[in-house]
Amino acid sequence: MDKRFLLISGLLLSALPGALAVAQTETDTAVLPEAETETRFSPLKGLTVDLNVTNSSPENISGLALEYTYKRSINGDYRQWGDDVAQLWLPRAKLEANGSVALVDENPQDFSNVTLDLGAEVQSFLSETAIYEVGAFYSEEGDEGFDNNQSVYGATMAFADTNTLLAKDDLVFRLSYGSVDPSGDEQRKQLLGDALEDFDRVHMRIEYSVRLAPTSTVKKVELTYNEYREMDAPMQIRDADLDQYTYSTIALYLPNNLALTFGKGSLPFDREGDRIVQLGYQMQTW
Amino acid sequence: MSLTAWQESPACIATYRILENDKLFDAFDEDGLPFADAGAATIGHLLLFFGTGHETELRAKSYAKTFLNAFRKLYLSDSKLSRQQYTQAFVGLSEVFTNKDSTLLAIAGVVHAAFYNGDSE
Repeated sequence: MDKRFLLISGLLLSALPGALAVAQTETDTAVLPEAETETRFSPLKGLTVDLNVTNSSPENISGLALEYTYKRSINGDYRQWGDDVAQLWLPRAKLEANGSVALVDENPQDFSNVTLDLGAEVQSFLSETAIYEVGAFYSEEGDEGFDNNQSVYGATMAFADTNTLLAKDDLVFRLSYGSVDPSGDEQRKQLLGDALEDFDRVHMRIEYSVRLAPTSTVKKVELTYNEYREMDAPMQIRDADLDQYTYSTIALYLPNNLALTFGKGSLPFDREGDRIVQLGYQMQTW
Repeated sequence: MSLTAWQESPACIATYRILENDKLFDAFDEDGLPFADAGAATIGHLLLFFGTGHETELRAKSYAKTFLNAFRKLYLSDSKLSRQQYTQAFVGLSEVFTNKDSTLLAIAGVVHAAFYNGDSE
């Protein structure tokens, strides 16, 4: 527990200067501050922390949890690949870490990952609004402290678009195919023993959100769906329901960076299949 | 000259019109956010896409592309558009759309730097 408090204190202290800086720069006068015209290196740029009050069932466990996301990317120069100036591609590398730290004995969203992604962003004449991505990735996945873990490498593709099904909506779809090395997964080791070996896995992620009227109490509704499906899973894994994980959420975004989220399902290393209700406050440190 | 204040310049007017457009972003009502007050409004408040889900960067780039192509259609003649201008604007817009605290003035600043810098206003 001490380790969690240290981590949380560190994250909060890291977030505080950025939050204060943001508060200090908010003025009613539309004049660009000097800082916006300069390029500054900030190690905290890309860190987002959600402070959540969480209740999970059927265990009926309530408590505080921090959800963190850290993203950094290195981009090359845009290059043109067609006649139109908008037909561009961009080589880039991305590092991303996601996870949650719970202040209760059992983390209801006990899944963390660190991913390095090398690939390209592509803009096509096919759409005036969509962005496409292709890449190769290497990821370390685990529980909250990575005591149980596995590594994954493979290929990924994604697209993001706006004004898709309804006005004022946006959609992101990502599909990844990877090879998983489960040698750090204790539960799988116990089930398979000497037969433990690498396996192939498909991951699909859909994020869809609709902005509502600026005057409404609920500013935005967002749906997310994640599915991890193991290909040709051994019988022991299928019988233990470890071959497929789905986790879906619906989030209602409220004023003042608050969000009310309902979640259902399970994720790799978070195998209990909880239903979660949480009220969260989001801090973005840049 | 860089754009340092919200004013009735081509870049500020274009930014306001594109974000207000019902068929594009529909981010605010003209009555609710008059032009004179719009420069300090943040995109986090108006567009609400910040920090949600996992794919924030990709989503912000889609917003940047939507904005830029609308600007291109409504305010530019393609014969005057260079790849350098397009990429400069896209990189700048992607950056401001990723930051929820970016103001409409910051967006107008990117548009001004890419397309109007050097013009007499």
